[in-house]
Amino acid sequence: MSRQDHIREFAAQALADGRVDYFIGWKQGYNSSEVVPAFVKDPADVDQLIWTPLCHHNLVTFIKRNMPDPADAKIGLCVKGCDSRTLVALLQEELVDKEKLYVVGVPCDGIVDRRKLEKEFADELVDIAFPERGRVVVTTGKGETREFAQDDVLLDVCGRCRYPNALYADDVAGPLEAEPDREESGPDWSDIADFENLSDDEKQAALERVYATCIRCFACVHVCPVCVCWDKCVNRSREPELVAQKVGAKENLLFQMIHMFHVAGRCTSCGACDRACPVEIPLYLLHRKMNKEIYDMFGFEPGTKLDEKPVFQLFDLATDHFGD
Amino acid sequence: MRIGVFVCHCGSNIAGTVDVDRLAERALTLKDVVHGEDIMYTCSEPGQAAIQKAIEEKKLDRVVVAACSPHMHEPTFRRCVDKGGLNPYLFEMANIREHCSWIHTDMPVATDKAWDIIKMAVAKARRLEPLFSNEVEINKDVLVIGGGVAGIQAALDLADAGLKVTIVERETTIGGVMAKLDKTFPTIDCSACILTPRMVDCGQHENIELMTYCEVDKVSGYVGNFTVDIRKKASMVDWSKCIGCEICVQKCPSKAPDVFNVGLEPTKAIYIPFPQAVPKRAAIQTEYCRYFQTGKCKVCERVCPADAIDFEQKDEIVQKRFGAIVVATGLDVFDWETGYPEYGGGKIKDVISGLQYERMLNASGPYGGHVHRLSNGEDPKTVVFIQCVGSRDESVNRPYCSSVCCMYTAKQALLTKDHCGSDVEVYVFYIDIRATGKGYEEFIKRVQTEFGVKYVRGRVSKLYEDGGKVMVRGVDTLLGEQVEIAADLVVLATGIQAPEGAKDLAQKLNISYDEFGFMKEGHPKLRPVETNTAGVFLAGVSQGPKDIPATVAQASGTASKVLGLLAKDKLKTSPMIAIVDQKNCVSCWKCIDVCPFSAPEKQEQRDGTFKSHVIETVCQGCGVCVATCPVNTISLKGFPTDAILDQIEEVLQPTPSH
Ligand SMILES: Cc1cc2nc3c(=O)[nH]c(=O)nc-3n(C[C@H](O)[C@H](O)[C@H](O)COP(=O)(O)OP(=O)(O)OC[C@H]3O[C@@H](n4cnc5c(N)ncnc54)[C@H](O)[C@@H]3O)c2cc1C
Ligand code: SF4
Ligand code: SF4
Ligand code: SF4
Ligand code: SF4
Repeated sequence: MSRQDHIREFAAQALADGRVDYFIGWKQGYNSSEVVPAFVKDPADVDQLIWTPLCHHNLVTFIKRNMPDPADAKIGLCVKGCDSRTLVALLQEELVDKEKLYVVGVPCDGIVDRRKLEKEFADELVDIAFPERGRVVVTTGKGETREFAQDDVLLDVCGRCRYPNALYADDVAGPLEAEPDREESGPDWSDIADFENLSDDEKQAALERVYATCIRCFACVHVCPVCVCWDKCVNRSREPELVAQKVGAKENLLFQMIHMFHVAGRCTSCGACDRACPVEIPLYLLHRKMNKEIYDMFGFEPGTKLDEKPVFQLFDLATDHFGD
Repeated sequence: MRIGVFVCHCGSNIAGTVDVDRLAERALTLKDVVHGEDIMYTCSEPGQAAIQKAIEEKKLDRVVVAACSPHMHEPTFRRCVDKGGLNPYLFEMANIREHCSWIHTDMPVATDKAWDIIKMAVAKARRLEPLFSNEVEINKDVLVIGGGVAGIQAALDLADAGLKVTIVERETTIGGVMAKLDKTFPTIDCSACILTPRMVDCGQHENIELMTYCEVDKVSGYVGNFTVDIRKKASMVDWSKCIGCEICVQKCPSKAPDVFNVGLEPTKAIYIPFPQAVPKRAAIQTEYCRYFQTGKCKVCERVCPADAIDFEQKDEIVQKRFGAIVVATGLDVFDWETGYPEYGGGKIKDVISGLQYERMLNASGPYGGHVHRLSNGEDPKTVVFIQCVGSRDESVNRPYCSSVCCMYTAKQALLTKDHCGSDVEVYVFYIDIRATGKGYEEFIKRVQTEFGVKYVRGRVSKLYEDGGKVMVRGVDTLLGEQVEIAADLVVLATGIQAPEGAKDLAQKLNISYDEFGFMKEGHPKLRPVETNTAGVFLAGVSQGPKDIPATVAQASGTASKVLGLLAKDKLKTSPMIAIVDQKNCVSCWKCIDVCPFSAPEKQEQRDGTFKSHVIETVCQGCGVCVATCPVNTISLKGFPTDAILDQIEEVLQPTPSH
């Protein structure tokens, strides 16, 4: 039985049993080259649900504080390994209620970066097919078809993945994927090595350049599964006006710095912000740098252990996290 | 708005590096500043009078003093402006001493920086609002943690003054280390003779409740209103029935290590530490009890005349409320076996610790006061004392002086002569002799001259067994030569360290401790028995090594501080606390997680949702939640966010150099 069949079966069962009011998974978008989130309420509709390497959405975003509708809804959802870290982070902070969740873990062998594929073609993509594991066949509106190796077109985050299987799940959709030896190899920070090598002034310049094109659509903030402030976001507040309303490189950077601090020690590097940004700003830069600092200083990896609290929520007068 | 700026010379402390007169004049160029004045000592009476005069004459509605750290004199100046007719919170302090004059040498640079600091203070002053204190009722009961001589003294003083006191002691009896000692320096009076009457007084005092074999589990609340969960550890004996007859102890077949006798001889699985224990009650060390280990025995149950044995007993939590807490958790003796492998690491039988020697000397100890070699029971002919074992030694992370070992070694040396006859050879290896108390130096002299104890200055590098003797190898640094002594008995003057669990307790109480686990006082000179958490006080060795006279004196000092606090019926709370603007709260509960005092709570709203609310009386105004709240909806009264932004803006304005 395929992972997709497992998902459909688990969803149908949970809906039929009344264990959940609705089930969140993925379904095909406007054509077979695109996937969008799916909210299924009727067991008869579970056949919409799919599982392919295009299912990039971190569905945990849809259950973060104040999101469920009605507020006490019982929700089922699919999580990949990376998404499960976000879920663990929210559970650590008691921002979601375990009792109201039904979680299906989906072992994942890497998500395809649709933007990378788009850049390979002049025309619009109409179909992306996966005839077998590792093969990606892309067809454009003009009928051009090309094949890629899945590993060559993965999301950057997938290249560094250490958690292919869910860290928290009630049921698992099929056999687990092979796990790296996490004791042996720590997180891979190669993606920010270039940035780290810059001087302070160069870093400032690089960041201002990167954020210059931000249009303040706030998509990155909305999609961020650990960002919880909604319309109270200080980046939009006029009282106090921490960030000026005018859109400029410095102000944009300040906005992102604030976001970085709010998710410091909580960001699970899911990459949702990167994928949501319409102007393709590499938002990971600041968040990953902060995560690395936190990892080096406290040995803390957000969203990996249920019984931990985020380091910055552990303020304690008496303990000295820095040792001697 | 009418702001007055007062710039302090602090003698030459500030004026030596900062051009004070110019700054006072220049302050007048700032918006809203209508008065600028430099004063020699602003905190002095004439200094304060000058402020009050200016408030009246210039109709000031904000006052800025540029002087030392607010830690030092903010309360002084708040009182001063209050008396001058202004709300005390319309005052702002600019620290141009610790933050400026003391750390710079170049006058123009320091003056520029002082100007920045003053500008920022004025910017903040513009945003200040009057604040008003509240009053809360206080509970007058006192918790004393630790029933050593410190805890006993503090409890008796407080109880005699009419307060209800609860002593929580983790052993089954009060008494602490002093109950184990034989005689005490410098008077050589019997420790038990002076301590046990006090212990009995504690046991019988109508205002004292003894909770022995108990520990503090959890502390919440604040000065005047602490709530404490106390864990009553299961003793497996119903203490309301036990009469302390010790029949169970005699009949129990299982041996167990005797903590009271510092492991010299074993006691029984069911034990009473010593005959004068208060309360005198038995307890079972279950890890050594035959019944608990094998399921068979119950001898004690059969022999107990009071039917007191209860094998089913469980730990119990009792919740109590107190207005103040005294920490008197005392000391542990340095664990020399692991620290000093060169002294045999505990494997040489005739090498013992100072506390073990006290038990050996003690007539009610395990040997009836017979000083002898543990290896063969013979009387020693040569006894060597080694000082500073686990004190003043960086290599075992004990750089501090334990402050009692010089004196107790001299005492023990004297008592050795007394017990074994004057022809016993007694040597003391020492680094320095520290005998600073009243009559102490004279005591040491007497031990050296009258009793003929030989003092050798130098460290002992090695102890080893040879031919039935303990060989002591060291250097006499005065003579500059190697010495080797064949000893029958070696006593290590083991130092004092913080007791096990001290850090844990400090964390529960929100008080700080030093790197060695001794509790930190509020100020080493001016607040020696207070802590930085209001309502929590220190007594005895918990705060740092000291002898019995100092411990008792300090405990009485602590009691008087507690009495001073609890003499009032109501307590003024600081108005500089956090407040949540609930309309923006997104219920992320980060404030609850980070608050070290558990001040924010989830408060139900009319629509059934929950928002954060800071309990006014619990908040200490530390500001951690303010910095944490992602939506900036908590503010600290007295520190408006806009004031901070204004300050930043002010300091970013370039200062024209003069
Ligand atoms: C070998 C030796 C000889 C000495 N000889 C002399 C002398 O001759 N003259 C002299 O003046 N001084 C002498 N001293 C010093 C003297 O022992 C101390 O000054 C004195 O005992 C300090 O009393 P205290 O109440 O502060 O501490 P302690 O006597 O240690 O009492 C602390 C009490 O608190 C209890 N406790 C600890 N932690 C907790 C907890 N978390 N919860 C509940 N209870 C707790 C302990 O069980 C203990 O009963 C000697 C010390 C030693 C080691
Ligand atoms: S998604 Fe991109 S453009 Fe939109 S606010 Fe975030 S960084 Fe700016
Ligand atoms: S049950 Fe037996 S071993 Fe245990 S305390 Fe009682 S007599 Fe001692
Ligand atoms: S300021 Fe905030 S964190 Fe500090 S004590 Fe008050 S409520 Fe707690
Ligand atoms: S941190 Fe701020 S937003 Fe979060 S619960 Fe506390 S007051 Fe509300």
